[in-house]
Amino acid sequence: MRRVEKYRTVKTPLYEKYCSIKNNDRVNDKRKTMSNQTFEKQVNSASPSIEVPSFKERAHDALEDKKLQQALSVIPSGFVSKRAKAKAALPEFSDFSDQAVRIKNHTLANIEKYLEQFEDDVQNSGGKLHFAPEPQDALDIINEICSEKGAKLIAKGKTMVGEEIGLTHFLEEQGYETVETDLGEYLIQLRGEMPSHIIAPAVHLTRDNIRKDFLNTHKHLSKDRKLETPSDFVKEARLILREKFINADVGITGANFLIAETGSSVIVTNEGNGDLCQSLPKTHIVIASLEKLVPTLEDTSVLLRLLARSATGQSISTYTTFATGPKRVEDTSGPEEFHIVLLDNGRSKMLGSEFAEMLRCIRCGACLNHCPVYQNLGGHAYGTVYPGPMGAVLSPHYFGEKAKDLPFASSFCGRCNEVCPMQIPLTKLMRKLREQPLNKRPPFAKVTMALWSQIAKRPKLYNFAMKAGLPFLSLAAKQNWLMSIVPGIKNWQKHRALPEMTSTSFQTAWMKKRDEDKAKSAKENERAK
Amino acid sequence: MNNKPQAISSNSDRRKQFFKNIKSAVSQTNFTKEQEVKLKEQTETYQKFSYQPQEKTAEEKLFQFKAVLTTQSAEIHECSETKIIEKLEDILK
Repeated sequence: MRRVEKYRTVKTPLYEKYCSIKNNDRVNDKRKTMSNQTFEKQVNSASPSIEVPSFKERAHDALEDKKLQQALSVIPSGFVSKRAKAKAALPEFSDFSDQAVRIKNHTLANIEKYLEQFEDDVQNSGGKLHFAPEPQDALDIINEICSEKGAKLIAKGKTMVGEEIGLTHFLEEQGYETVETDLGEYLIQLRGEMPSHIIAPAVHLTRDNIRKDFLNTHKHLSKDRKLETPSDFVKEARLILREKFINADVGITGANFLIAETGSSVIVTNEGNGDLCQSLPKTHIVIASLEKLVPTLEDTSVLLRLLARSATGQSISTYTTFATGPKRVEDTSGPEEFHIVLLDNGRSKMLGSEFAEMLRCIRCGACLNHCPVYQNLGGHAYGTVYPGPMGAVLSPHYFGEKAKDLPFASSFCGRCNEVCPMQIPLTKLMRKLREQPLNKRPPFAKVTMALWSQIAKRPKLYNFAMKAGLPFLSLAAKQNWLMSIVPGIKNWQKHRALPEMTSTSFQTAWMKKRDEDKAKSAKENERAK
Repeated sequence: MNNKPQAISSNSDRRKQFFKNIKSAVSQTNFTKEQEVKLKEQTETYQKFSYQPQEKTAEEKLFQFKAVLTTQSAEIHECSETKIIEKLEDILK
């Protein structure tokens, strides 16, 4: 209610354009409550976003969204347990992890050398490497290639870098029919949303959501068709997408790795859509960022072992595809042109900074899956395409002020550090971002922390405060509404129940026990005498 | 934080800018001493690593061998070392 009062409903052509999705009440409700200015600001930013102004408000909405909560409940039993089993089945997992860290650190320390080697190898294999320091460069390069080829239909595989720069929206604006071919990406394209997870973009959707979207979009199919199971959805999506693959003029994919010694790009998928995107259309464009470089094929095999296990709990993804140059004379299939667009977008700045370790990230999503904040909110609450702990570190670098509050989206429990196969100290990096001037604490938090510091430094005052506060907390545990009258706590308490309090504080109980023990030992000593 | 400068038009200019950004970042590296030592160590040991799969036990090897033979429709006979000749005679009969 608060937000409805705060943001008036405004409909401009820009608003209409981005709100054309008819079947997404949740997204549309959010958009309707945004001011025109806020909406335009977000649309004009580097990445498309559907969010309301702040992380806190998005988080609030996510917690109240019952359908979302239902969809998110599968994460612990799915991704988390599968990863644990896969890791346990490979005793050398930690050795691979150590080696992967060495590979990435070595590559980043010698990035110029490997970039030049990669450029030579791409050219030698008949491809072309394009450099894009900024997102707009990448968009311009891709637009230029598509325009030269007279492209009308573009088949797009899953690419997080593409999401980062708003590639699909941009291509649609330029008049190309652009179809996402990864099933998850296709589902969110139908809804006009952005991915809520880096490897499972539609993890926030229920079967009911998907069924409704398919019925409303694929209107040429029978209304009475069976659309109940994931298998039904896959069959229908395949039927629609096969035609797009065959007719596409340009195929665009991302890359999980770029191999310097061969000039190849590597993608892993479980649907095979990447293979079709890069082999059926006459032109194949790879969009990737500079930290995807690895020196050799052998290094790639180390990283692939970690990626699949950490991401989906598979020993290896169903399809691991290597693309090197365009079709050769002796090849029966393949693209006639092969382009790689290499994006920087703030990564080189990270390279020389205290955040360089973040460039080791292989986008497995393990940190998201294990994060209690992500598990409760899902990806859209983060408001950028990179959610979870990795997003909390990356997004402020890629999207600037728009993502400044994301480093606060963590309880610092440290599970992300433990499960990261690339050993990235995510909580340490988030803490560093919190310390940056952009993230100065609000005056209320400053005063509270200063007050707390004064109390904590004085044991007598601390004990008095604890004794005085305990009866209130005990009562508040029984009467939840009481917490809502405490300034700064009412929002915290809204989605959490205060645990039942003991009648005495730990300090009091400990001192009592200490006195009792002393008395007991004194008595025993007397008896002994 | 990223300040989104204007896009550059030609590919060679973009390439120059790309490498310039990297060079400038590397030259301004502000790693701590500890980080530098660790990085140097990791860069040096990078080539020394080789993957050693864990050795299978004799039992695991035998199991694998039997599984392969079974899939090839072979008949498996098991006997102790001293009874091989007897076993062969039985089979030849």
